[in-house]
Amino acid sequence: MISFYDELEIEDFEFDEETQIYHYPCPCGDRFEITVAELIDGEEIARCPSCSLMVRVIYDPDDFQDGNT
Amino acid sequence: MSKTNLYAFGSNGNGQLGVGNKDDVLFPSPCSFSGHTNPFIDSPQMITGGGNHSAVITNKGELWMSGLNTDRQCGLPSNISNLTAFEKVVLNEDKNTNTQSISAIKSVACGWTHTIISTERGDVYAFGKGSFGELGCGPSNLALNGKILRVEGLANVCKVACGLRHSVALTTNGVCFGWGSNRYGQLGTIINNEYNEKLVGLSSKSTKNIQYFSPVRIAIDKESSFFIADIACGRNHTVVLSAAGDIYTFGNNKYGQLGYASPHDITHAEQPRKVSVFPGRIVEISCGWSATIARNDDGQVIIWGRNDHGQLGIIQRIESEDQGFIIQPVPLCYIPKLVVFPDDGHRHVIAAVTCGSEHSLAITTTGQCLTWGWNEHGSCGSGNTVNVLSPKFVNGDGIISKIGAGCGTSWIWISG
Repeated sequence: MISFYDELEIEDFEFDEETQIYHYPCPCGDRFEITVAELIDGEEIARCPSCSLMVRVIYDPDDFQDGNT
Repeated sequence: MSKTNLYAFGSNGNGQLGVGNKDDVLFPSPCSFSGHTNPFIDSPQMITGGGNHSAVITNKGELWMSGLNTDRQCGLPSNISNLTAFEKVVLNEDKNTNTQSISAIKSVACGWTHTIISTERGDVYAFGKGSFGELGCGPSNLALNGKILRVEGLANVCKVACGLRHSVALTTNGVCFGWGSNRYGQLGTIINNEYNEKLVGLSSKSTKNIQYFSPVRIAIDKESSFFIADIACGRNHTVVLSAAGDIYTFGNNKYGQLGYASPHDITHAEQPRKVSVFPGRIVEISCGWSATIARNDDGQVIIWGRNDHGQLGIIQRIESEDQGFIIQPVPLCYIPKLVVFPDDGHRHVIAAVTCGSEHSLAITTTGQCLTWGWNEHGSCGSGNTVNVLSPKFVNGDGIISKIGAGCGTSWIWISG
């Protein structure tokens, strides 16, 4: 069973236009990240590159279909 | 050459510990000060950390910072992306025509990518970046690009505090003001809110994403009769201490951090409510990301909120089918609990407490430091990365008289 650090709505994330990454602060100082491509694929786990923590992203998959980001 | 008395441990990916490199540190290591061996005559006034940057105020009111500066959250020019040693920050207020030097810093708080300071004169300044209004410098100033701007509408401020996306200031008159995100009610019940309320969000669905780009007064009760003596901010909650020693909380309660109701019953609350039943009189408060800690005048520590990584230091013994009795952290406590310190034959009287993002520090009146909580980056100073589920002493010589913490980061001041 995966244990999530948190479950967060996509609205809680900040979006980086340049890298097309949604990100949210991790308590270690790095950021939980998930790409637009991953969201289009239905991925719901945002990971921190620097530690073991991960968060589940709550979003409406329809918002990320047909280039509607 | 004098010896450095400030030691750090924990997460250090951007040099925020100020120990001279960018490697995580698992046990207390001496901090470095650019151009100086030791800029301190005596114990610093304040040590604190934010997302990836940190700040120390010396007893002379100088501000020294280390860590990430890509959003100029260390108050330094943009050609410096980060610092691995503490650097003295000389602040000049950016007014359109003239610049005014800011001296005698009294209080500092570091958010995720921003910094708020207050001066001896009681003025408040912001620098860094704050997409949620946490700079308090108006809706057009989400990134100050190195400018140090005054937060208008505030006077006689004696302390500032930062959550992840909100900021709070306390005046010498016992009144507090907040700005930034109010998504979870972390700015409380707001007075005079009509002129600076903004609704923003990714879509029309997110109308609850309320943000304030300038300070609004936080009222604790209808009459606003409380004299507020101290403030503290968690990730999405706020705690105030009245002069009478009462604690009021508001904001997110997802992990019971408000201290009076189960997250199942109250998910968040904008109305400040008193947290009851403490032994003694509360004299100090601090917040982790989702936990609240308080110290009373008898040197006892009371704590509540999230505990899945041992943040509260509260454990339970449960019987496991294949391992016998095992020790586990209680997932959360929404009712305040007394922290139990190691039993070595005498009672430990606590002189100060502080919380990092997901860990806590305390010092005893005899100058020993205890830590507990999330330790994946070494922020408990135990020499390894195993979570510390109940308070443990940090090994080291000398009398520890000051502590500070940030996101996975810890500092101790060894006075002798």
